Amino acid sequence: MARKFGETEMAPRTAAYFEKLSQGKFDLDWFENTKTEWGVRVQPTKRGVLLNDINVGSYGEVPEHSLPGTGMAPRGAELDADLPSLGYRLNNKYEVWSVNAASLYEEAKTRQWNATTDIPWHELRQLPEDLERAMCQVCTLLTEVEFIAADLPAKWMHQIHQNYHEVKCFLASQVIDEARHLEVFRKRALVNGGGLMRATKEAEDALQAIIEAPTYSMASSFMHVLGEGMVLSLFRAGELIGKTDVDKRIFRMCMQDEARHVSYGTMHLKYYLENHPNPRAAREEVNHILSKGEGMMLAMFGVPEFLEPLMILAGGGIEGMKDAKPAVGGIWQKMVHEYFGRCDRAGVSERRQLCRLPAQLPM
Amino acid sequence: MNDAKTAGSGGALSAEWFESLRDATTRHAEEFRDLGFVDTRFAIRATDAAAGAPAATGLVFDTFECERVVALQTAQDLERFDPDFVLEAPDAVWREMLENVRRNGKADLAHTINTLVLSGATRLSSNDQLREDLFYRYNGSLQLFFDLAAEVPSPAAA
Repeated sequence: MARKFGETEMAPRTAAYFEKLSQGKFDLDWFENTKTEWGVRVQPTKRGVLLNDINVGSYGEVPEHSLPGTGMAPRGAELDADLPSLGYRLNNKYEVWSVNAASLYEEAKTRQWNATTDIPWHELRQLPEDLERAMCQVCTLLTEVEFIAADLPAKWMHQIHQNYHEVKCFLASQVIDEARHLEVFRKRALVNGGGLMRATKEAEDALQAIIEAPTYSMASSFMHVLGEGMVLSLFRAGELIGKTDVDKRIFRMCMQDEARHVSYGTMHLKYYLENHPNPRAAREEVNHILSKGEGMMLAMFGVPEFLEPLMILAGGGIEGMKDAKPAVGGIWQKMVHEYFGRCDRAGVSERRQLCRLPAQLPM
Repeated sequence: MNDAKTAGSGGALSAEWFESLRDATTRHAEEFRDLGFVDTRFAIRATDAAAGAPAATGLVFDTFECERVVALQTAQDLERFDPDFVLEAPDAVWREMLENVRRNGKADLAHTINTLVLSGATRLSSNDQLREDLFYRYNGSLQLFFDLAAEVPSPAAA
């Protein structure tokens, strides 16, 4: 019940404390009686002080299960009674954890770049129309897919219990990475006179399936491991198909970021499968979403709006498309091959048998 | 396994030459720092090395810099070094890349390490896809490292 101190209505505890203060007294219970690991120290290294460095003593104990009714109280703090529940739904470590989340977050912070100032835009030269159109079509698709890669972590981040702050931090870094990617590809499409090209239904259907995946781990498997894994292979090939220093630099910078996201997703999937209380159900769930995802990725990439711009760029122009078919076929093979490698690492080697992606395109 | 100072090998990919390259990078510490953490260990290998030549050269990157160069004398040394990935090509390919860097001040569009791998001139291998992916994650830092070959006397001309 609210009480009054002077003319102001306030909570009983506040009113009592103000009364005490007005009598010249202090409380200091927080100072004398809080349970803390007083004396815990961390020695900075040449890297500074990393999140992992401060995982000392009880502060480093990441609970397997977390109570939802602990507000946003940081891991290791003494908790007042009756903290509110903020509605976090991902309260189990296996649902979100990845052993490399903290180190990837630290790496992400040091490897940030700026799509406005770190790309030598002024050096971008005029390209023949066919090459420019092809590049703009590629950039249109990449702008689309970068939206999902920002929205998906953002959708789940606020549902993750604060005890897993390393994961929340990493996902926050991914959101800013992906914002920068959609920015850089949109800029590339517009800066050289081409503009945005066609957004396909197949791509949008795939993005819808990712955002609507029923659990975080299913969404992460689909997006981080399958989707971003294939886009990572594409970024890497971008250095081969890019026609200017500017384009190659864009692909290289994005490639570095994307590899962190794929690494998190792969190691999360591994942790999920190894620590889920019902491993068989978890594996079925993951295989279900990956089968669905593979079909949708095939639909998304198996369209003229994706393959033909690559052939034009790889072939040096529309006249060279035919000759470029082996190169684009090779990019596809690499995408699938590397996806299998990541599935192996995550512990779902059965994708090699179950996969709906063809090893080769009908080139 | 020997550190570079006792390796006693020659050629484009010798540990001694990489040690010179590593020394050059210390003059560019700020540029590496700007590119961020780089934590990987990998090996460079000439597929047609002469008999008796070291099997490969190992490079260890830690935090912001190339911390160590290691001459890997035998295939067993290479295995024990446990690289995240191995980059291998005929000696002529490495020499052409280094000559290109020296001529242009940095690798041109056809001679970046990633492009060489994509074109098939150089082979990237690993037994773990996530460790192979470190080649992608740190590619900018690794390319800067190789671009600094422009400041080191070319092994071809030595």
